[in-house]
Amino acid sequence: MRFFSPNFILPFLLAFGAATAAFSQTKGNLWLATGLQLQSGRDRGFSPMIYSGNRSFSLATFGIESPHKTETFQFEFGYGPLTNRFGNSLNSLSAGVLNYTFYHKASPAERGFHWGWANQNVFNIRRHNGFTNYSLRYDYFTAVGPALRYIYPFEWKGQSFKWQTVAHWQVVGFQVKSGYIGADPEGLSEEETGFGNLLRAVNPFFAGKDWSMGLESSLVWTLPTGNSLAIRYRPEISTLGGGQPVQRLGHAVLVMVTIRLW
Amino acid sequence: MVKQARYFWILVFFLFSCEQWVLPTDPSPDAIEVFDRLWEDVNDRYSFFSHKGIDWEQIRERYRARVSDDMGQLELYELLADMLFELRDGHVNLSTGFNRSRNWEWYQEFPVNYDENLIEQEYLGADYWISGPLLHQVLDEVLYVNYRSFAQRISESNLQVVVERAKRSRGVIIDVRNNGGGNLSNAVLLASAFAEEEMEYARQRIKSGPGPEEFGPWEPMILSPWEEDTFTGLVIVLTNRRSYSATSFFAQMMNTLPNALLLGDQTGGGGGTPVFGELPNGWTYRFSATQTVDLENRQLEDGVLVDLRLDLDPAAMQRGEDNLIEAAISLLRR
Repeated sequence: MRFFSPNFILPFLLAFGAATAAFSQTKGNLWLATGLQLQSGRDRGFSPMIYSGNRSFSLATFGIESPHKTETFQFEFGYGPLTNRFGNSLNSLSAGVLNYTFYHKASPAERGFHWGWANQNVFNIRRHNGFTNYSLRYDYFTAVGPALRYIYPFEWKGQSFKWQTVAHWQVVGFQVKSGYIGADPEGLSEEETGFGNLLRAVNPFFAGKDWSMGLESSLVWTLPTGNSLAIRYRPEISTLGGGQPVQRLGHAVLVMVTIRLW
Repeated sequence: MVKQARYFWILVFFLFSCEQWVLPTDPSPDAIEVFDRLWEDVNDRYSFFSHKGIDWEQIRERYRARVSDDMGQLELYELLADMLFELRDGHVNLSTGFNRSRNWEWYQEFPVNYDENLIEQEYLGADYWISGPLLHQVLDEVLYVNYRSFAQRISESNLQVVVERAKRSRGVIIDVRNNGGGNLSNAVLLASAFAEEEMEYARQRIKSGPGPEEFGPWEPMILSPWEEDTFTGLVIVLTNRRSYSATSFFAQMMNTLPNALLLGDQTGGGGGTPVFGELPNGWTYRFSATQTVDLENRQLEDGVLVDLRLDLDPAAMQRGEDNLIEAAISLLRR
C-alpha cells in the first residue's frame, strides 16, 4: 500500500486545502439555455443570395466569480435549415466557445460596468441541398477583443431581479475557411507536411476586414434558493473577408436556468 | 436605471444599424443584373477558357448588348443559354422552372455505336443476372457486364457477385457505352475490383481564384485494389461518345490498368467537375471548375482515347450482332 503513504497524502491534502480556501472566496455558476435563433447569412462560395431561417440554439456556460474578476466559459451549439427567397435550402450547424473575463477590482461584482476581454471560437458548417458537387462549406475563427458588462440589480414586488448586458467585439485572431470552389481551404494540400499545410490554410482575422461582435442581454429572476431563471436576447454579427466572403447575422431568444454550484 | 438602459439601447441600435452593412440585401432580379452575375461567376470560376481558347470578354460584349431590363423571362433564358452554349461543355446547364439548357454536341455529332435493344435481345437474353445496377451474362465463357449509369449505386455485394463470376470466366467485358456518368465513387469502386496494385490514374486541379490560370496544385488521383476481392484477368471496356463525366474517369482508370483495354470510340469527355451557383432570379446553373489530365497530360475534357477504335457496323447489326461485343469476345478468347 505504498500508494497511501503519508509522504504522498500530505502534499495532496495541502493542495486540496489551498484549493478549498481559494474556492471559499469564489462563486461558481452553471447557466443552461435553449431557444431559437433567427439566422441570416450569405456565403459567396455558394450564392449571392441570403439564406435565413430559425435554428435551434443552446448554450451551456460555466462561470467563476472571484473578488476581482469574473470568468465565464460558454459552449454554444446551433443547428437548423436556412432557405433563400426562392426556397433553395441549406443545413447550417455551428458550434463554438465564447470566453469572457471581466475585472471588478474597483467596483462591486454585482452591479455597474465592468471592462474585460473576450475570446471567441466558432466553427460553422453548411451543406447546400440543391448542389450535387461542392455542396459542403465551412469556416472557423478564433479571435480576441474587448468586452463590456453591465449589471443592474433591482427589486420588484419583493423579488430579486437583475438586468445584465454583455457586449464583445473581436479584433484580432485567425481564421480558416473553405476554398474558392471546394470545401477544403486553399493551400491545405500544397505541401507534404500536415503542419505546413495547416499554416497555409490559416489566415489572419483582424477588425476592418473581418468582424465579429455581439450582445447578450438577460433579465434574471433570482430564486430564494440562489438559483435563477432568465430570458436572454442575443444579437450577433460576423463577417469573414477574403476569398469567398462569408456574412452572418443572428438574433437568438433563449430561456435560461442558472444553477449555483458553490 | 433610465440612464443605464439608454446605454443598452445605444448598443442594440449600433448592432442593428450594422445589419445592412454586414449583410446587404439580395441583388436585384432584373435581367441586366442576372446577366452580369452569371457572366462574372463563369468568368471567375470556369476552368477551361485557356484550354478551349474561348474569349469570354468578347462573348460578353456580344451578348450584353442584347440584354435589357424589360425583356421577358423566356427571352432572357434563351440569351443566357446561348451564351453558355459557347463554352462547348456538357457540364454546363442553366436550370429554370421551365427548361434546362445544355450543350450535347460532344456526342450528337458522332456515331451512336450502341443499340440497347440489340444487346437486350441478342446478348443479355432472358436470364441475365441483375446485381444492383450491374446487368451481367456469360457469353462464350466471357462475362459481359452492362452498366448504364454511374448515378446508380453499386453495393459491395453487387460487386462481389461480378468478381466471383469473372473468376470463372475467360475475361470480362464492361460495357459503359451511353453511360452518361454519375457518382465518381461508383466508378472508383468498380475499377478497384480489377486493380492489382495501387496506382495513379490522373491528376486534377481546382480553380483557386478569379484569374483564368488561377488553379490550386495538381493533385494525384489514386486507384487502389478493392480490399474484398479482385479479378486481375483480362478486361475490355466498351465506350462510345456518350460515355461521359464519371464514365470518362472510369475509362481512364481502366486505361491505366495493365490488364485492361478500351474498345469502341473515345469517351465524350466531361473531365471538369461542375460547381453550382444561383442567380438573383432563382435560376440555378453549373459549370466545370476543375481540370483533370491523364498521365500524359492530356485533358479528360477532350475524352479518353481507346486502344482499339471500332464503330458499330450496320451490316453486323442486320445480322443481329454487336460487332464491338463480338470483337471483345474474340480478343478475350484468343
